[in-house]
Amino acid sequence: MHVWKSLGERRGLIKKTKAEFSDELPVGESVRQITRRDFFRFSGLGFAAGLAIGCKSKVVEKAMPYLNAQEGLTPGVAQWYATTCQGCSAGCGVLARSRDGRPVKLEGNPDHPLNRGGLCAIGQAQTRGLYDPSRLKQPRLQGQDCAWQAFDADLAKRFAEIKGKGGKLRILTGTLLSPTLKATIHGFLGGFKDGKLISYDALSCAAIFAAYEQTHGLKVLPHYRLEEAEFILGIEADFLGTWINPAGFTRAYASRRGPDNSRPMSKHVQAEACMSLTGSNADERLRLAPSEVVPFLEALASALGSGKSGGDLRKELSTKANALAHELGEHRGSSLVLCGANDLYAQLLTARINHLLGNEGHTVDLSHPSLQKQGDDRALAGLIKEMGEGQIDAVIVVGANPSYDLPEEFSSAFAKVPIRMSLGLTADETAVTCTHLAPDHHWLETWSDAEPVAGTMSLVQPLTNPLFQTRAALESFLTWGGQSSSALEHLREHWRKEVFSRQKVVGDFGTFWDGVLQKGAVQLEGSPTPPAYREDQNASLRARNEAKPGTYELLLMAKVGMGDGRHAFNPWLQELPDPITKMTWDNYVSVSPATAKGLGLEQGDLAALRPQGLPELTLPVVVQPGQDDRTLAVALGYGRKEGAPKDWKTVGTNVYPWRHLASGFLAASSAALQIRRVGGRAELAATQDHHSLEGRELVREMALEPYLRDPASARPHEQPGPSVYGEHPHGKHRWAMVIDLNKCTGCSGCVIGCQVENNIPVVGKEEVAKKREMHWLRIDRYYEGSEAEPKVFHQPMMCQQCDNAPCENVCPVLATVHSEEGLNQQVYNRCVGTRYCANNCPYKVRRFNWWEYPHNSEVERLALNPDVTVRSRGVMEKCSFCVQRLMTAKIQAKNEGRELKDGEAQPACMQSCPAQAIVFGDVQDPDSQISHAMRDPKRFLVLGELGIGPAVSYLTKIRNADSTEAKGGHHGA
Amino acid sequence: MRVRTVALGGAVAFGASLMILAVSVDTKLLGDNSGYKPVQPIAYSHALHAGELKLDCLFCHTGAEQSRHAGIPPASTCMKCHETILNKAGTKPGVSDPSPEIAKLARAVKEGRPIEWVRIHRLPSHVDFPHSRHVNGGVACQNCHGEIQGMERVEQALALTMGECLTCHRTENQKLQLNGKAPMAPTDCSACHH
Repeated sequence: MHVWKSLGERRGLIKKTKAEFSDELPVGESVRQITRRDFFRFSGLGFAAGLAIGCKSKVVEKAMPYLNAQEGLTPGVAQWYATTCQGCSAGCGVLARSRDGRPVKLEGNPDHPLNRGGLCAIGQAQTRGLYDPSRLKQPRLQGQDCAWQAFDADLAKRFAEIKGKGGKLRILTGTLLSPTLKATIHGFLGGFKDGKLISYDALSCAAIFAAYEQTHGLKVLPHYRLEEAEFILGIEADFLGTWINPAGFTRAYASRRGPDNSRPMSKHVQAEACMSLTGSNADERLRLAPSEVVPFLEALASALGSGKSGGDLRKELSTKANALAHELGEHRGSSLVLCGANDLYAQLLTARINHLLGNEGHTVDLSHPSLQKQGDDRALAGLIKEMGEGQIDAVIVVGANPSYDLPEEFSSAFAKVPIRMSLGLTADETAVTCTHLAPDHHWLETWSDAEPVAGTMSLVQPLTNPLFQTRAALESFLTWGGQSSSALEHLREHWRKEVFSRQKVVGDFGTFWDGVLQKGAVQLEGSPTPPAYREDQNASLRARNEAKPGTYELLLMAKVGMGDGRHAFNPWLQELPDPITKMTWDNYVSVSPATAKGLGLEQGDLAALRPQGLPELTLPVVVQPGQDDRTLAVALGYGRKEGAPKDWKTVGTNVYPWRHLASGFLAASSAALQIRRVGGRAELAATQDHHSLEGRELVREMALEPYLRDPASARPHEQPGPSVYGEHPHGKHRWAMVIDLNKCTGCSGCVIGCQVENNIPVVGKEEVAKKREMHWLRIDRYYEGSEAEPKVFHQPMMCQQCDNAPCENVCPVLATVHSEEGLNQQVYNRCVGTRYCANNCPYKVRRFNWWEYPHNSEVERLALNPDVTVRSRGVMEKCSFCVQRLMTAKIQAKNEGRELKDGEAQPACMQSCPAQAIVFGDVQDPDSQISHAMRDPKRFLVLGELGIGPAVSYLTKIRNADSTEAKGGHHGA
Repeated sequence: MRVRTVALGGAVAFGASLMILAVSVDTKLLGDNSGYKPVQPIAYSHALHAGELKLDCLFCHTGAEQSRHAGIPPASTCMKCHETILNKAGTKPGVSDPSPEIAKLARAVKEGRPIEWVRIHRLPSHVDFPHSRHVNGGVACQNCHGEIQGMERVEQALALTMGECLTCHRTENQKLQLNGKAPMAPTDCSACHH
């Protein structure tokens, strides 16, 4: 199986360098004669050195204990609190680890029914948003910082004016997960004659709402139960990466992957234009231009017996649609068709197809709809119209950045509103145009609640006192509504009145409240029967296909690490390599290999794109295998300028201006897209093409049928090579790890989890371009097969903790030695920076601190984990299996006088994985999860033939396809 | 070039030897702070409290049992007794003058000012020393901190260098192994350096 990592490698364009570090060594510098000045300079050095050696360090350090002992707070002992992530609108349950009164690490809450302990990359990175020195520190009135009292007094005056003349007030928000906040806002609006709340999502699902309103009379987004699905067809829906609830969907999806579960392995087919994370994990993938989504759905519906196909579908797609309809028909009630296009007709078709397949009530849950997207694009369009006509007297923006992520018509209409207020945390694109700024708390320092799926409720509790003079949105609206209770009091009251009665398990409210605070989430009773499906054959909604030959179609998508752009100033997320392209610190236009060839474009060229009638923007080109030939794809969420930290260079290009609301739904312009090459090249910082592993068998896969027939056939034929070394003696534990490639989706939650836990520095774009990124854990992405329709593999790679580690032999100062528990230890204080160990490592997982990567700002330094050394320049570092977490668990067990339980000691990567793809534990315990995984016939070692005995092994990926033969044929452009 | 190197090397050695000569009276290793006996803001006497009154170490230094840091007790711990005990003679008012040190404590609490103790025992930041493991493992405080109960003003008794840690770890492991038990004290680098 010939595996290749990039087009450059496949085409033989990458020159293999002999030396790992390609810079020239500085030898042979010019020499002067020694002068008297030099003599004294150097003897002075010796004098100072002698001084340092001779003197004792007498830096006086003060220790200042509390005046009053804090109950339950022992310095040095971590405290855990359950709260809810607000990194996006999915509302995953989180356990936040607090050290000495400040949160340093977020972990998924295992007791939360949606994410069950997993947390995505964006969620893991949230602590950085709390410790952001560019946050607004106090309210601002007409551009001047002021105190809350003055601010509220001014607002009271203005609100009174509006109420007096019966004026109009609008509140524009992102999806509000908090029922209490929504109720409070409605209470505040009740004081106005014409006050409305309008929600929108930058990554909109409004068409799904509108579709279900027509088919069921219910304006809902169904909760998709992927754990019940045996056959999943995703059409332009990146549900594992960015759509609605990636962590929750991944958990549900992964529970059906892998052939050895009690329930049969699911089959996943994905139809999309640009390679997405979800598409890369599918058993089968089809290329589909955006304009082909509706015809494809029509063909599916028609094959299932409803409606007629439009007739403008490519022959091979219509054949495929028929075949898929047949397969879907075999899984009635246990299939799921997901469509991410924000087009009403497409969603009506999807709703119809799911209904025809009997999926309602099984995989499509309408009794407990999802509340994770609440945006109403039509109401938004109405607001823009009203504002443009000068009808609105005041607009309050909460949890949204509309001047950035909405079409330009919003900004010009917004400017006409006399009172514009933003509750945003930073002086973002919207806030800089506002008259009033009332900055909200960060979610880690506030009281609130969340209801992500109807009936599943959780609380948001603060981990620390507010860092600045900000105020919770809940309190702000209470104050402006004339009430004076605190956020906590109001929240408790709301739960006492509205939530407590919806459950029958606990009789006393106080106990109920404490229970939810402790556990994190509660599932309430009530399972209303949704109304029946109403057939709607409204074909007039079908949008015209505007695609013209010679022009291309635009696909605007979100990246896994960036989402809609609200975390654009989070350096961890900017440096996270995109799971598919492995690009950092940039967005770009993805072009298929055939199209790039036809246009004479190469990776890194600059190209200017222009949808008809919209501004032209220049973007770097990335050639993307597996992309549809007619589609050019660009990621949203980049090009942000306002609210940036000091000295921040703008990252990427903002392509939100290429969206419109013309159809009533936020969508990318479907007008003819032209692309032309402009001179110059962009510096792209990608982490792929590094550490070329010489084409050896690094990933293994098998088809499902042959595996089920004979599981033992999955065993690798090659035996680990011989070794000249004897066995290491092991102590009480021997740690090992197995990564299940069936479950791993490549979401990179583990990468950020590792970065946060281990104080891994961010190096910036230039250094990443020099191959100096510091991530201890990387996800290698391999392609196999043709450029047009490749298969994709994701393989997490970290220090393999080899028994016969090549790095241990070559360290001149014994900074890397083997522990008696099987770990390859890196001792930072011994390391002198020879870098011979990194040279010797065949997996190239050792990272070197080339510079002092400072955490200059006092506020930024609060994000560091105090349990892990912060490494200085000249020190080598690498994955340690989170030895600090292992030590903490062992000390806890020893202090309590008991044995360590299986699963008690978890490295950060294992803990964060939404798919639970990483298994870790003590192989000397025959009953542990890891011992079970070690006996799996699918287990193989990467580079096992070297005989170095890695402690990390992988499980062969099983594809639910007839065979694993790569598709060699091409599909024409 | 060779001449230059030799000359420069000689210069460094000349300077270093000057300095080493100057400090040769004091031959402690870098990082050896034994004998450090700084003046504290309040002249708290362990000899009185731990020695004469026989207060348990863990009565005040509660962190030692649960955390990596033993910590210095918060002022509220002191005030448990010293709210009423104002001097050595006891609580009888008017018997003798109130102790000025207790007065300092009471003033700090009243003004809400934390007491700035001078830290004596300090390991480098690349060492993670868990007090709780040692206390729960049966290591007496005096093993590393010396005979605190006899100190009027606390002095660092041991050098607290890594060599001392390892010596004790190895000795204890040997003792355990001689008694047929598994070694308990880790000697792996990453047990403390992570």
